Amino acid sequence: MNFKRIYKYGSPPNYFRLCLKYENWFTVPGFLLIIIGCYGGLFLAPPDYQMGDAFRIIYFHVPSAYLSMSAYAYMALAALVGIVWRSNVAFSVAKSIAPFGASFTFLALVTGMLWGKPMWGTAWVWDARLTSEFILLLLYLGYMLLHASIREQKKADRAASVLAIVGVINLPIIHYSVVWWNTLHQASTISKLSSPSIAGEMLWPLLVMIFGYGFFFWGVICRAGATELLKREKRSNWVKEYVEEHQS
Amino acid sequence: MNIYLKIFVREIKVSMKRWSDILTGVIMFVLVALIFPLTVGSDQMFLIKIIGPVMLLSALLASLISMQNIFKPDFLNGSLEQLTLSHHSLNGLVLMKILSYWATSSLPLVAVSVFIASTYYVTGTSLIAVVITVLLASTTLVNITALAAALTLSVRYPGALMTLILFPLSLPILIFGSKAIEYSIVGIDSSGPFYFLTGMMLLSFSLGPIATAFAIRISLD
Amino acid sequence: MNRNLLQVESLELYREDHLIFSDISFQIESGDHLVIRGQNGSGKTSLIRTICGLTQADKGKVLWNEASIDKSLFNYYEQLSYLGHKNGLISELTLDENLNYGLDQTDKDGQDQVINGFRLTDLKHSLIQNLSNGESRKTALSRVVSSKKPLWVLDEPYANLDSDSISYLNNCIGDHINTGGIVITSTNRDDSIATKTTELLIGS
Repeated sequence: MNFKRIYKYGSPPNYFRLCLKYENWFTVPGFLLIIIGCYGGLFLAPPDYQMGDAFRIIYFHVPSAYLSMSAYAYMALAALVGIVWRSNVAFSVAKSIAPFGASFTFLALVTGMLWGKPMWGTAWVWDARLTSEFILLLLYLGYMLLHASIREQKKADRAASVLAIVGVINLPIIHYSVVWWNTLHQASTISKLSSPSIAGEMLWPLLVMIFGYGFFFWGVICRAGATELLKREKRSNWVKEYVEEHQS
Repeated sequence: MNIYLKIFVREIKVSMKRWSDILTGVIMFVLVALIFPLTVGSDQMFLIKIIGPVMLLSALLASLISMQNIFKPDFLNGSLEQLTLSHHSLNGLVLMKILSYWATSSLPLVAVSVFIASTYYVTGTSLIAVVITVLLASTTLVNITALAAALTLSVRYPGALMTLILFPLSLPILIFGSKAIEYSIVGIDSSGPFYFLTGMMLLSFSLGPIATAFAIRISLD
Repeated sequence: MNRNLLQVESLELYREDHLIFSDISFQIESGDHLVIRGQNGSGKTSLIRTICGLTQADKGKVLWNEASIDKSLFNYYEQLSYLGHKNGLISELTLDENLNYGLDQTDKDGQDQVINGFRLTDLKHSLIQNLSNGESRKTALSRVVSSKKPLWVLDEPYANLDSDSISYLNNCIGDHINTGGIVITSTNRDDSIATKTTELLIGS
């Protein structure tokens, strides 16, 4: 891959067009997969012999948790690209990932607590993965708050990006220190795909949901990133042309 | 004399003249640590159990209350600009500032921690373990603090923001520091947590000044 | 001193959607004293900070001896002495300590001469916090003047100075450009500056 091509597609107008063009390639499959996954998970999958129907919340908990972690990594990657190439596109992607990442983190926390209630008898248990999910939420909030408190957009982008990158270096350390500190959570449910510890008819809706969440996420980021970019580039000619084109 | 050494000496000298800032951190450290025996009672077994987290929490709060002092005065009087515009490595200069800040803000805490730990009935080798833990943890803490301070230089009221940045990043230090103290008091082999703290110290001193210097350039923009 | 060349190519800077300046280009070389003139708020300080590499422009670039300063920052800073709005002095240290903590290389005799020229000799061992605004400014100017760097960038150096000091500063700038230095200063006043060789008017 050569850099000229990256520059070409990474230029704001091109990125904007690409986003609008391919947005539905993510959103539509995302929705379909989520609907299929919901149906499979909530109706087709048999109830767990231990947890009964309560286990079905994993179809929302696990994808949210996966996405919350990977979204932070994507955000930090975009932040790094933004700092290295001073790319407004990358900064807008990073900035628009933050609120969605935080939302999925929040969702993972809430569903985890709902799951914990029948499982452990209490909504909150100081177990390792819930706790590091909570720390992740703090990292997202730190990024967003830092970005919001610096008035100058360019400065806010760069400062918050430094924080995101430092956060991503620290994330594994935080995660493992919390794991080491206390482990109560049941072992990861599908990490060993070769011999999954849950039955196939329970597993496939989960995988479908994970992919559905992922597609949906990227669809949303396409739109949010493009909107953010439009706001930032409002002085440039391509935005003026675009607006004139679409006014009539 | 080497330029970096000169800057280090200058920073120490300036901090000595701003002695009230140093004192603020120490007072915070002592007060937080003394609140626990005064509120939860002076039961020896219990105090020995909580000494680890108390030490690290007090150190965290002390660095939080004095963290503005590391770059803000220089930011306001313009000498930070001059530092950035010198032809010496900014990373090196920032490292010197961090080291001198550590020497003036954290070393007093290390000294005071001996006194605090004895009021918590810690004795013998455990006392040494407490001191070493505070010493090791404060080196990482000072790097994280410096980064958070540099990132928020241009924010007018950065209090809550600094806490939000500082807390998640310093969590591993709090956990392992507490474990190091707990293990050595209980008598389990505590080398694991100590290795971890040392590793974090090296990591934070190798990446911290670079990130902080970069953050300073951003904040001056 | 070697011949030096500072080029500025179509700089443009926005701050929170406000255009601060745009399309600023000039070229100065050894022996030039550029005066940037403009009203308050016309972007003089922003321009000066951009020239020094403290602020990143949205468009355009600054070249020192035909190399972009972003790419050879340390080379550039080896040649640059800057005085901003803020004096860059630490108020808890004395005048002498502030001038000699050694970020720039200085020769003692030259420095004493400059301090004497600005009539600061008696204050050499007083703390900066006990000096008046004008005296602090003169201290900061002494630092630039006694540095052995070819490029001086001074933001509003004439503000707060009495007439004796202004004429001494003019002498220093004159000497500097005659020996192949480059000086950039900014001012908001119309009165002509004796040593000026080029002028840049910014703001409407």
